[in-house]
Amino acid sequence: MEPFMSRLYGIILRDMRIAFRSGGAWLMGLVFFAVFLSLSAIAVGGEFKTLRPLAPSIIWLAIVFSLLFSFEQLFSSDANDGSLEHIKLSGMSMGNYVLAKVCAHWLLSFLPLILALPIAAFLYDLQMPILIGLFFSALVASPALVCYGAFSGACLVGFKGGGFLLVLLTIPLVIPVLIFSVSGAVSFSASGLFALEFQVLVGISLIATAIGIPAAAAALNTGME
Amino acid sequence: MINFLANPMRFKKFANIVTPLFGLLAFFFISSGLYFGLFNSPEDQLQGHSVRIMYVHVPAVIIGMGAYAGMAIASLLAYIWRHPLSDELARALALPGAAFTALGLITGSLWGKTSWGTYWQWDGRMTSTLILLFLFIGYMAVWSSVDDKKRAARIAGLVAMVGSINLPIIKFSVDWWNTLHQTSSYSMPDAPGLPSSMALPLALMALGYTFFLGWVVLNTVLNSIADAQVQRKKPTVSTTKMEKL
Repeated sequence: MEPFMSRLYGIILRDMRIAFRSGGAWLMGLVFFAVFLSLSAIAVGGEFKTLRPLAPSIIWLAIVFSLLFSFEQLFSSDANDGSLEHIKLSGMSMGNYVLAKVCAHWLLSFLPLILALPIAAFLYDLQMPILIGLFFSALVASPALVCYGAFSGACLVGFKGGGFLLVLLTIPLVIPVLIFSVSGAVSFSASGLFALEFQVLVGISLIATAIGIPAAAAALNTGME
Repeated sequence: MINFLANPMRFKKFANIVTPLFGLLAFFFISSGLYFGLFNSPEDQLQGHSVRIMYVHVPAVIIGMGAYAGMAIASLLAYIWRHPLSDELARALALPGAAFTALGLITGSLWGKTSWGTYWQWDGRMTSTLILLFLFIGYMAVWSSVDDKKRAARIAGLVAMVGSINLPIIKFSVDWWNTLHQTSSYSMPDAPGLPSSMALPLALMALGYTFFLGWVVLNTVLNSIADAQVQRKKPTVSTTKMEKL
């Protein structure tokens, strides 16, 4: 048990250190999130009356897209500079490695988005219950998004221009998440945390974690056979 | 059975017998299904003649989902036992599966126009069928964009297996969202079910589609075996030339 946890923390800390020293590139997802939100508001016309009912959907789209584009880089730097092979040679299981990468990615890419939700609510003039609903739906759906994204990212390691293919591979898996998170964010004000949508989201997240991480590990192994 | 057919030469002998049989059966079942469906079955009390779209629509969607399930199972077999033929089988299922799913979506939207008054509605069952089509396209995109064939096979197999968790979601989505699309007329409690004059062409068409799928898939696999043989022969020709020299 002991080496498992220490290896996990080791990779997470390494990824955080690399990100913080890279001069803010890890915050690009957040910038994309803000740009997407303002662009949508401009496209819809900028009236709060028309924006407010659309806001949960637009905010969720912004979350999904800014996450999707981040997965292309998730494993490729480790695969390109050879550290992936070293990690495999060191005896660390690929599943453990993927779990660590996913945790680090959650901290670096998803947590900033969740923390930026109040700003999104401010931009769209949202009521408090909707904001809290968005917050909880994002929290509950995040394992599913991150694990499926990690799977697609692992499949496309070493591809040239895999960005569009990554979106194509991930979108079908993410559509149920999107449907339930948006309606969950809306129905939170009526039925609270025990809304049906949250229960479904938890189920989807559990399935995604159980399937996505081993599948991502298997996909990474195919590159090194 | 699986291990027996894993040998490409044995598979080729088997497929050479079965493939024309499947083609004949597909022709027979589809033509008789079309005859019963179009000329020899009653009109619906409310929908009139447009109910006949059902005989094309329902089997197409069922076979599309079945093709995906077959793709996932073949990928699983290939993943565990590393039978290359199983990979070829999964790959061959993708294109006809996508075609059947698209056919189901198109006929469904035509039928929806006449009976619901709209071509498209974002209801659970339609949405998940559309997702199924996207999954097929993604699977084929992986095959076509990886150069190393072995790696492409493994990754496409993983994509198919992970996507197969979408199939139960398709099945239960009607109960989850339940807006416009009717549930199956057979599984509803105290449903009258379909009269046998309508069930007969439906069953004939489903059988015919299944044999047609089998015919297309076996032909594709036979083609890829022949391809592999040609590829393998090329270097031996050059080596014999080298030996002569």
